Amino acid sequence: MDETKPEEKWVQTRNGLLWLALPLVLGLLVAALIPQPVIGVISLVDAIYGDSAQSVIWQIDYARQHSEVRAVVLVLDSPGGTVVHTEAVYLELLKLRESKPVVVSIEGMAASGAYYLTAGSDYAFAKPTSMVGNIGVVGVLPDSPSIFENIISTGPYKLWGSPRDTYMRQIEIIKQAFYEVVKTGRGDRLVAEADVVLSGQIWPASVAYQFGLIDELGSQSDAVEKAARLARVSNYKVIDLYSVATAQSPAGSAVGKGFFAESAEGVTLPYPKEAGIYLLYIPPALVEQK
Amino acid sequence: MKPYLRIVLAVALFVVPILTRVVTFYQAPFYKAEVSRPDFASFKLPEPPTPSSRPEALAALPGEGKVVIIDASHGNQYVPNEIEPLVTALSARGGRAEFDMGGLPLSSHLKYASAYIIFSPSLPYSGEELRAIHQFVKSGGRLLVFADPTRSLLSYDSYTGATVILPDVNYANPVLAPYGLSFVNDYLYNLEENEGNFRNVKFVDFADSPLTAGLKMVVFYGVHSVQTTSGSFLARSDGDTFSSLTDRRGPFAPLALSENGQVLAAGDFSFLTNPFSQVADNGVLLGTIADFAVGSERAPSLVNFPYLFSRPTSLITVGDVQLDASLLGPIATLQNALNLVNIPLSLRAKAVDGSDVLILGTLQDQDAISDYTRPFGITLNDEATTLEIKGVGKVSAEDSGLLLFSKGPKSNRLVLIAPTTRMLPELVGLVAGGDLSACVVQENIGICSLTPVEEEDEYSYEDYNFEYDFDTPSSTPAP
Repeated sequence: MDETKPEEKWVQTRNGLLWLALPLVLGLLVAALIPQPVIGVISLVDAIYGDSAQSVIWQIDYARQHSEVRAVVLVLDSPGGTVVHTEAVYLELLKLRESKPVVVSIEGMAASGAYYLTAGSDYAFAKPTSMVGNIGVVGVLPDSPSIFENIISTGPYKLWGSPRDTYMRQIEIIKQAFYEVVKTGRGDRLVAEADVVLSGQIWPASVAYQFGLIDELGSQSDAVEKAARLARVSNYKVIDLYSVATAQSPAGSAVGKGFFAESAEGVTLPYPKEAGIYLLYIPPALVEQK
Repeated sequence: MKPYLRIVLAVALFVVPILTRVVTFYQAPFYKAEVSRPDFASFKLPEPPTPSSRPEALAALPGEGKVVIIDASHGNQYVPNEIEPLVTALSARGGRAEFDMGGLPLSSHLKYASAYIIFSPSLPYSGEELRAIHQFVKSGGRLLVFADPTRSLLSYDSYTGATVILPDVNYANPVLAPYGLSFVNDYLYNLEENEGNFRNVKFVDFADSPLTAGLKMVVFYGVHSVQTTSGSFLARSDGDTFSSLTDRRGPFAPLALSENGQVLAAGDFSFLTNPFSQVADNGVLLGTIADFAVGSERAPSLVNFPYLFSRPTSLITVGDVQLDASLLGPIATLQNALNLVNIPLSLRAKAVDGSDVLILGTLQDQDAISDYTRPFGITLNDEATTLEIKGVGKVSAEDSGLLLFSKGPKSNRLVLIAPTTRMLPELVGLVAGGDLSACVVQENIGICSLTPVEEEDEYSYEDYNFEYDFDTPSSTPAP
């Protein structure tokens, strides 16, 4: 005969439930705090210059600081751009890769500076006819130094920056660095010889793949899956980091403006509006016109 | 339930949702290897090759008096300032550069030139010009043709907006074709061993030639390759040099000389300009090219008057020739013509050592002129009506003037012989005017048609200076 009083039964039942439910609820609460992994997508569909580079850097910074972002897919459709901004994005990419994998997905083109970034990734996809390569540097030599009646400067190159000859050699040193970036980034996967890589050719991705300049022909979703595999996550969600990282930044709305020259009719032309040194692909017809 | 079971169960219930979520999202920890990065600080600026020592001042002036014509009438893609090092090198050798701006026919410039230099033309040469150049080279003149792949002209199609590149080789090659030389419409490059840029190609392999004497390394800054069917290459590239036309390895040649040694084709002229002329042995090559330009041993021809002389010239009359008023006028014109080409003409009783000589004589005094006519195989019949010229035949001596030119190692000599003293001024006038179109010129002999002039005593003063005799009406005619 059960002599336990109903009050005691209730106490036992309550204690039992507490021993079961409380850990479970706590476990569920703690589990809920574990974020769903995110594959962040950063798009660079523009030349690489001040504003566009800054936007990408903010997104990289966001990915690095947010633990739920477990990998990044960098979507490229770019002819390249200025040297210093390309380097800035590249160095940030390397820093990001120390904690998270970065996979590149090339859409229409990853030329020159955009390929520089590709070489800084863990893995690179491209469509079979995406244009890849154009590895090298282009610049316009400064004028020969001269002096003017009404302009006073304190040295022969104050107005000109550097002698033409030195400028040419500086371009050569940037080329050496570019090749080193490709060699370091691609490692054993690079099968093309230096003279092929540095020829400045731009190839369809199917050819670039044979040279070891990219890893696989595939889509952007393939790139996302690869990023997830490299990060060893599943049931992830894909987030465009631009919306979360640059929503409040002033640079967000500036992308796409300010780099390319414009015709008198206001048509954007595919070459830079300022002379300088670029990691940039300029279509041949436009090179001739320049 | 025993207490320890409760604890185990509680822990399990706490951990399971967490593990479930972790396993759902994270298959394994992400271990990242260290990311290698290039050592950007290790790259060094490529240094230019050390310039060779500057050539010592020339003890002699091998090109003294030589004139080099530089084409500036075919849309040539250079500015005079660029080629100043070459002009200076020519001057250092006693030569002189003149720019042909196209005001006169090319042949009139080539008459007196030692060399003709073409830089990157962008206009075609006419048939007449090509013939003049060919004749010039045939007579010993030197032709130097420089192209440059960085000097192509761009043409825009206003209808389609398309850009057309018009390379200088299109216009330079027809000039070179007769000599078995041509430029390839390419540029050479070397990605392995270059001078600061892939298009700046170093050359260290040279043929044995005065043009390449003393060269160890020359750098061309954007250079076409040169081909030849009969000439010789003066330099060859190494196996790492490519042609942009085929992207195939060389060797390729940037310089070539025609078979007759009179025509030089160079695929670049940036190396002649500053500062590139001061790199490696470019300055030495500049010097040998200047030597080549002023070094022609061109055989002067009668048609090249007034450029038959290269020294101060003495004018001597022989026989019955007198320097009267009718003769002094044409001689003054002759003196002016020679002054224009820096040849002073002086009247002398006899030739001065080291000077060229211009001799005036007539057929009327055969003894005086025989020393000059004999070497040319010229004889006059007894009646003094017919000249017998060896290799030519008989020529009327009554209305024909003779020009006899001989070139010597120390003195050039031109002899003008008219039938009479009255006809001598006309002959001198023809020569002074530089127009020998009234003369048949065969090698060093010219036979000129002169207008017979009657002897003075057959005319009275009035025949030349008659006065009109106007009837002055003395009064109003009577009706």
